[in-house]
Formats: sequence, C-alpha cells, structure tokens
Amino acid sequence: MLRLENLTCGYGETQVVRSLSFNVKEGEVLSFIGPNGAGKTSTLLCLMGLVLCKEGSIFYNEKNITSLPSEQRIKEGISLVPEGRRIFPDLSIFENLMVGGHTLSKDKCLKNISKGYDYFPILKQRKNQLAGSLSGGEQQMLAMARALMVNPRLLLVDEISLGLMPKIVDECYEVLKALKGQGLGIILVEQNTEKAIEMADHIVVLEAGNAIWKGSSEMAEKEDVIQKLLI
Amino acid sequence: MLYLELFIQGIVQGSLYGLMTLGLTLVYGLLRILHVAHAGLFTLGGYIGVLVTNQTGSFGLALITAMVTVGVMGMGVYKFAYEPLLKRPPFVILIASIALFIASEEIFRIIFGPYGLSYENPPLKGQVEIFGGMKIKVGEIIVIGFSLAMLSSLAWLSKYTRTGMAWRATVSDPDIAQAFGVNKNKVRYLNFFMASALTATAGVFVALLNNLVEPTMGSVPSYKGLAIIVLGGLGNIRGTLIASLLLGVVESYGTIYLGKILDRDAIAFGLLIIVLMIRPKGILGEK
Ligand SMILES: Nc1ncnc2c1ncn2[C@@H]1O[C@H](COP(=O)(O)OP(=O)(O)OP(=O)(O)O)[C@@H](O)[C@H]1O
Ligand SMILES: [Mg+2]
Repeated sequence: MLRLENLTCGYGETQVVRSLSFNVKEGEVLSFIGPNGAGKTSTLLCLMGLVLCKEGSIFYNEKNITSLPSEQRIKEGISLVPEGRRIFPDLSIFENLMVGGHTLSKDKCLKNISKGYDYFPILKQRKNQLAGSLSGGEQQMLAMARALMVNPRLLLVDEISLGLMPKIVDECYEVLKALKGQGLGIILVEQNTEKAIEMADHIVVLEAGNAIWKGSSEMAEKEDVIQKLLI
Repeated sequence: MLYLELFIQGIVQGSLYGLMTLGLTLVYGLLRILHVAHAGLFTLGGYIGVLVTNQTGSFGLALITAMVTVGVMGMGVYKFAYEPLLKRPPFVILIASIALFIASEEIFRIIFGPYGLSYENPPLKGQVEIFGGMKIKVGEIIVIGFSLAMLSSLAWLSKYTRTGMAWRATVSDPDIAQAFGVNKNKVRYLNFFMASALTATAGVFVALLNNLVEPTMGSVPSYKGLAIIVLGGLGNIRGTLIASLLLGVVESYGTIYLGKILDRDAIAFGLLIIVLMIRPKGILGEK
C-alpha cells in the first residue's frame, strides 16, 4: 500500500535521510530502528507531509502523494502517533479527539470518538479533563485514539513506549496488534528493539540517514543483526 | 462616591484596553509576532467609525463597517507583510511592523488631514444616573456591555465550535494540528481577522468617547499595548484581559492620587515594573 522510492528529506539545506526505499503492505508492520538522530522521526513526518521531501517519491496505493498537503494525506488514510505524544495540553480529551477528526463530519467524529473510548475506556471516564493533566500513559492512549479518529489504513507510530510503565506499553501494543489484525499497515519506530522485532514483519535499520540493513524479522533474529549493527 | 466613580472609569478604560490588546495577544500566541502595526489598525477603526457615522448617521453600521474593513486589512497585513518574513529571525518582523505602523500614521495624515476628525452629530451622548446621583455616559455603558458581549461570544466560539477547537489546537502545536488536516493558513487569517476587528471596535469607541480621531491616536496604544500583554503574560488571553482591567483601574485612581508626580503612562509602566519584579513572566505567564 505504501512504497517509498529513493526518498531524501531534510530541513532547510540539510538532508537528514538519504535515498530511502521500502514497501509496506496491508496488515504488515514495518519496524524502523536506529540510534538517536538517525532520521526515523523525520521520515515519518515526511510521510505525513510535515517535513520537506527533497528527492524521490512516495506512492500510496499506487498514487503519487509526494507533494500532497497533509490534509489530503489524512483523507487518503494515513495518520500519525507522533513522537513525544504531542497531545494538545490545553484541550480536553474530547476536544483533542475532535481535532483528530477535523477532516470528518461531526456525526462521523462522534461515532469514531466512541470507538476510541472502546479501545481506551479510561479516556471516556476523563473525557472532559484537560489533556495536559493526564499521566504519560493516558496521554499516549489519547495520542493513539486521536490518530485512529480518521479510520486510517496506514498508521505511523513513533516511540510509543518511551517513558511508560511496561503494563501500559503492553496495553498499547495489544491495540496495535488488533489494528494489524484488521488489515492496517503500520510503520513502527521503537527504541525497544525486542518489542520492535516481535511486532514486525519487516525491519529497516537506519543510521545517520542511511538504511544500513533491510529484511524480514526472522532474518533479523537469525543474523542477530540488531546486536551486530547497533553496538 | 469618588471611589466608585473612579472605579467605573477604570473599568471603561480597561475594557477599551482589552478590546485593543486582545488582538496583540492572539497574534503573539499564534505566531510569536509583536504586532506593533495593530495600533495603526486601531486608528483606522476610529476613522471609519467617524466617517461612516457622519455619512450615514448610523453608529451601528459604522461599527460593523469598521470591524469588517479593518478585519480584512489585518489579514492583508499578515499576507503581505508578515507571511513573507516568517522564516526570518523575529526582530525582522518586529521592524517591519514598526515601519508599517509609522507609515500608517503618515498615511492617515495625508488622507484625512493633520487635525483629526470629529462626529458632526455625536451619537450616544446622553448620561444616565445610577445609584446616588452618580452619572455615567451612555457611551461608557455601551463600551462595557459591548466588550462583555464580544468577549463572551468569542469565548463561546473558541470553546464550542470545531473551528474554535482547531484554532486552539493550532496555537498549542501548529504542526500536529496540521497533521490532522487543520489548514494552518485559514487559522492564521481568521486569527488576524478577529484580532483586527476587535481593535477596530476599540478605535471606534475611543473616537466616540473623545469625540476625536487623529493620525497619532495609535501612538500611545502602540507601546502601552505591549506593556499590557507583557503584564498579562505573553500570549495569555485571560492574563491580557486581567492586565487591561487592572491597568485601567490603577490609572484611573493613579491620575487622581498620583497625578501631580506621575503622568498616566508613567503609572502604567510603574505598574508593569512592579508586577514584573514579583512575577517575571507576568500575571498569568507560564513558568
Ligand atoms: N526541526 C529540525 N530542524 C533541523 N534539523 C532537525 C530538526 N529535527 C530534527 N533535526 C535533525 O535531523 C536529524 C534526524 O532527527 P530525527 O528526529 O529524525 O531522528 P530520530 O531517528 O527520530 O532520533 P530519536 O531516536 O532521537 O528520536 C538529527 O540530526 C536532528 O538533529
Ligand atoms: Mg525520533
């Protein structure tokens, strides 16, 4: 469903990711691993239309979306759970979700909000609370529920486990597994390599903006790639 | 009695400050721009108020015309002066804004003449008596009532409409709001429209209460507006309103009791200095 061809992206004059290519199919998880500053977040933001794509192309269901604005990409079914959660702290949970569904009609929004509450019941209990007053775990759930508002077909997930208790991380991953089961394609950026490999069908290892290894997760385990490459 | 009268005068002045400076805070909150040229839009509002009232005899129509025209002008200022400079360091935009403001004073002078204009037939000039023989001008009551109505409808819009939510989301994280399909440019235009329409009403009312508009009407507001938004805590809407009212009231008492030693503006900046010594980020500023 998603195909990157020689994507080069960056900020201003600098390139932070060079000539990156990969595919993601429906129901597949692609894990993106690499050290700090490798360019993982930048790649996701570029897919979302928030970071400039300098060269190469992005195809989504065979349609070239390389220069579409974010608004159109959302409508095509791509959605982001950003690094650091980045919920809107001065808005209530309900309002955060409404903004998540900004491109939808109001009825559709309300319907999807109640779906989100089914995934994360705690959000329903606190729906009128300001998002900034939630715990880290709750904020992460909100960030996921917000991304799901648009019924995405491709979900971009950036470091959801960062700074969270293991129990909550597991809860978030349960939801991701369920979504994969529903046929969503997922691109997962994760520092926790164990989790990343466990979830993944395919893996791309990124270092300083270059893909230094690509393959299936079985290959990765067999070759013990992660240990070799990252240490 | 004097106490109460001064208090009411202070609230009237504070409401005008509020209408005038809320827009500065809206612009700062969204784009981190110190929008000095806002004071030029304030003066423009005053001129339109007087001219349209004199032409048509309808103050209401004048108020609405001022809001719409100045609102659109404000969007133009964003589009042609600020947007091209957004990638530059902030002081570049500040300088552009100051230049624009100074130019606007000269343009008013050229178009409308140096001596100012007055209402031929000043509207709303009656007085009403409230408790104990105290008198208050109808215009002043309208200022207070209008400000309240304006601010509460804005608060309602931003709280309950989807556009309001999108606007608040963009203020807090523009990129992520955009990632969910909020059109950043629409939010900015809306923001400048609202900000400018508000300051236009302040201009109209100041011109009404003084029965005068002149080219330099915006010069005091240009710097006092900055003092107020710093006092409230930069970018903080509630803080701006509190600071406006506080300043109005303090100036009102101050000119009577300290008037011999300090003039009105000195009192305003004195208050600013004192508050900033106690709360460096302003009344409601974040730490
Ligand atoms: N807004 C920005 N402007 C300029 N350079 C940036 C910006 N954001 C990130 N960079 C640079 O781009 C490079 C890649 O950063 P990116 O955040 O994509 O890495 P990452 O792999 O997600 O790292 P981490 O594991 O720390 O999240 C880094 O060198 C970073 O300094
Ligand atoms: Mg990152």
